[in-house]
Amino acid sequence: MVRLSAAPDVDAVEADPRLVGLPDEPRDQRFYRRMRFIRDFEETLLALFEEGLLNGTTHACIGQEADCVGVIEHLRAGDHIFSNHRCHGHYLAWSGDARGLLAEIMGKPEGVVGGIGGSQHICAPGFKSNGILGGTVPAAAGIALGLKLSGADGISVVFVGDGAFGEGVVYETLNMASLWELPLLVVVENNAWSQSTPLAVNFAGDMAKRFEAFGIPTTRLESTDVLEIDSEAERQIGLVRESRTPRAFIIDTYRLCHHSKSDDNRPADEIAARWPLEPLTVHSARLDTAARERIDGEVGAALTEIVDEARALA
Amino acid sequence: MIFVRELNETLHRLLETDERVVILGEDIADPYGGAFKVTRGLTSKFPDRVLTTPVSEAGIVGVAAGLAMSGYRPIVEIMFGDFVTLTFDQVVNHISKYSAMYDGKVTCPVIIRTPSGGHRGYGPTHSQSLEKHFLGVPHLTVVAASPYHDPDAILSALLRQDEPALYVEHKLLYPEHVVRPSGSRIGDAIGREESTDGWLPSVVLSQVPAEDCTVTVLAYGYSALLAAQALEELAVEEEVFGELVVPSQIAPMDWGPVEASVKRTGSLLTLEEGTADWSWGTEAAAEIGRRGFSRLRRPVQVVASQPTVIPSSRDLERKVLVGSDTMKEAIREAAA
Amino acid sequence: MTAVTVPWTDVNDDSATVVEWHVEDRGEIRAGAPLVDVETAKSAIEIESPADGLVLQLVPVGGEVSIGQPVAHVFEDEASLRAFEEARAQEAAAAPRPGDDVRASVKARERAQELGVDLSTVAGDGLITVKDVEAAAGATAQAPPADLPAPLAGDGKSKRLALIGAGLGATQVLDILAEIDGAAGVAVVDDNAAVWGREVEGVPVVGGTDQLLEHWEAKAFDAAVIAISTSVEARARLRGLCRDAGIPLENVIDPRSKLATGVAVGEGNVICAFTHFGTGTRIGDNNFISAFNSYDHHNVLGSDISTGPGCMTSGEVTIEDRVRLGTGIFVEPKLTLGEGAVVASGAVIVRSVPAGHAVKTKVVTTTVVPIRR
Repeated sequence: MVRLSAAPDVDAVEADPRLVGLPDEPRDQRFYRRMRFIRDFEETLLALFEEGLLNGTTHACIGQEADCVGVIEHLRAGDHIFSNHRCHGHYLAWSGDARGLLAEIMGKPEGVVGGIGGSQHICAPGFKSNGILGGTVPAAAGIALGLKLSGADGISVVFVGDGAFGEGVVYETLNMASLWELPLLVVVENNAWSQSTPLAVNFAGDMAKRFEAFGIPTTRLESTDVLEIDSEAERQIGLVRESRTPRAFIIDTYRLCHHSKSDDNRPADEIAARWPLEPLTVHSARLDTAARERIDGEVGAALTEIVDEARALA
Repeated sequence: MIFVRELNETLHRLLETDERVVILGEDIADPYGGAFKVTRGLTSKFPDRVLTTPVSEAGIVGVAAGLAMSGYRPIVEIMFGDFVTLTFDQVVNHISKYSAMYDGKVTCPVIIRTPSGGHRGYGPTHSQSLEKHFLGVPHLTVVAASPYHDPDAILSALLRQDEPALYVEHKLLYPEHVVRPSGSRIGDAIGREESTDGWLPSVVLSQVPAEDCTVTVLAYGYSALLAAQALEELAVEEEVFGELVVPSQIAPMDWGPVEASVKRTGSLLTLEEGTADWSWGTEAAAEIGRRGFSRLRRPVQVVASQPTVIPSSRDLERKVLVGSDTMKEAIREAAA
Repeated sequence: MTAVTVPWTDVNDDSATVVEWHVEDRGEIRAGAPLVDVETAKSAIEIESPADGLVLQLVPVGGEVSIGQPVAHVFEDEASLRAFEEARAQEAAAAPRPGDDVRASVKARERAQELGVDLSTVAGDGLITVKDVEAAAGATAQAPPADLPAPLAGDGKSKRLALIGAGLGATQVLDILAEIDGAAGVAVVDDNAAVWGREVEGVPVVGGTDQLLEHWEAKAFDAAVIAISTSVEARARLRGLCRDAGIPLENVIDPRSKLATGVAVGEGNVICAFTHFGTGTRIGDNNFISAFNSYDHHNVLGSDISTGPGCMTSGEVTIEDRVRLGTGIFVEPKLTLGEGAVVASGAVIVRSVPAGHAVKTKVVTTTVVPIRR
């Protein structure tokens, strides 16, 4: 065990209900709140970068909040999530730990991993992320194998993007996951761009067929609607839990922010056309204005407290 | 008992007594039992925890990472040491980093075992000693099998530690007998185990008492066996006396026994089968050059294989790889 | 089953190295066909199969086989080969482990023999070294034994010679001296203490190098001659020892040899019977020339050379220091045998030999078979 930071051991994170959902809250409001939390967090992060308060780089997930909230809604203790460089949304949906994540990105000992990992390398109970594209997939499969060997009923989920399909180790893993019947769910957030490269330049053939070639059942959903994603995710996760065999769930979505920072050369009109379709716009139409504004205010207030606390850290 | 048998029995014993142990490797299933028969009998006895895999070195090492972070103790066989390059990303950017970059919240104690080395005419891509490229990867322990180190003791020690390890087994050690220290002897030679607290042990041997030795020879693995033979011949035929230090752990290194020996002999020669330059030996030269500066009567000598491909033809292979003749010539000079 | 042994070709060698097998292990062979090539320090030998049958190789390429020991067996058939192997395996399993052979360096063994020390009594941690042997010898041997004989007094007219080396070379030297008026052997010295006190042709072995120097101080003899016939290294070393001690070396030349006009001879040479040195030839110091040698005109011989019988050179040949010639060697004119060269018996030298090189001869075994009618 290697401890590089001077961080004190922290007990389980107490997530603020204003960010992760009030008890007995209606489902539509809960989903809105949780997506708003991620959106506001990411936008705050980018603003703090401008201020010079943050360390290193980051990969925000603006536009993809519905994936995070819709899928992770159906995961529970005993499951495991392996995320990638664009992991904030997944982490916040899973743990609600805005405090720890912000401190981490600020490089503070109070961060999730003591400021050592930073934005891309997070570890918490049931959650890990790493910044090497595709390299996370075999580890997720290994975790699935561990679950299988121990007879536990949890499942292993790995989030990848369209770019990861370039890495050979992904296919090595799909082959083994299928051969060995591992309880692994691969969630592909296909946001049509891998850094600066559009899908058409990076990707040959059919995405679903790549999984099916290994005998892995695949479902593809083009949507930014959290309810659609939630419904399909429930089905997929249920199937993996029950069959204890691997599946793939491809969500066609869109990233509205830069890949990391100041690196967006995509056509402006393409981006502009996607804003009306983004998850919060789509879903907020289901709420009445009063509820929406109330929730916006609660999320905003909770985050402001966290940011103020973070600024005060030495 | 010959080394490969000892190794096989060790793996049997570990699977039997530690339910966290899982073994992965290509072609390891019975009746074949592995390319070098190290895993014979294991899939029959432990079918759930000994898995034969597709030819996916990166994939299986990655899967092992996931297992290790879930509390298992995976041991992965990479069929030939030449293929470890395919695991390099998983080892460097994943396995060896997880514990440190996650601030100690997990451990990832993967053990990778691999048969390596040449002298069998298998040609350029099946004869190499590529452990060289894993030396100095932070948080990775690199250990080399030798005829003087009990594989059960070594693997058990690796299972007690939290950090990942690469265990390199030179193929030509498989038919050799393990020679354990007994009293103050190792085989016919004067010898003993020596280590600094908490480190895996090194073995120190000589034909005559250490104070009569005029060179320290530092070698690991099969090169250590050849060095021992060369030193015996030089002692008997020419009364050239050297003290051989054989570490089991080659990175990070316990320099204590080497330093102590060099203080007695005043000269250091390193031997390795890996290619010359930017190597284990050059690291030893820097380290002992610093620690033993005032005691060295001559510069440290580093002997390694030619920096080129390893030919298949036996005569040509002998010219490229470090062998007995090169060793004897170098030892004679370093002992003078 | 027929055993194939390595023939004894050189009195100095007791083992040979296998160079190349001409038939694979367990392969078939006909009588008379080439079986294996072996090599001693001086010659390469091709061994033919003594019989038809299947070959069992006993020694691998690079391995050593003692002279007289089998290097292979030839079996009439598969069955007898297998029977032999089984028997051998059983024997190996049943045989008790050999007792601890003493582990000692080559130099230690040599020194132990020189000093008459029993290796199994030498204390040493690990390998026994020269240092250990000398320590053991030093512990036991202090002053030389009081009962060493004194040199002979001599007849008062002849030069009194001390012979260095108590082996067969000394008998040759004493034999020559028997024919010479004016010089006689009065003492023999040898560093092998085992022979001290004995006599060689009536001349006492008075001790070793120490005693040589003692008796020289005591003026018990007038000059020395090194009576070691074959080892050029020993001759050279002892010549140096005598030079350092100021002991002159005496030529001992058989009266039945011919030294032509203009032949210059150095010191300490032993020249046996029926040896011819042609006109203009120069000879250095301390050479041991056996019988029936001929060095034709204008040869130049160096020092510390040793030759076997029957060596012949043509004109203008140069033989440098410490060359060792075997038996029956011919050298063409104007060639040079470089320093320290070794020439195997029977060689015909047609080009110069560089220093430090050996000339090997290939000897095909001869077989003895009854004549068929």
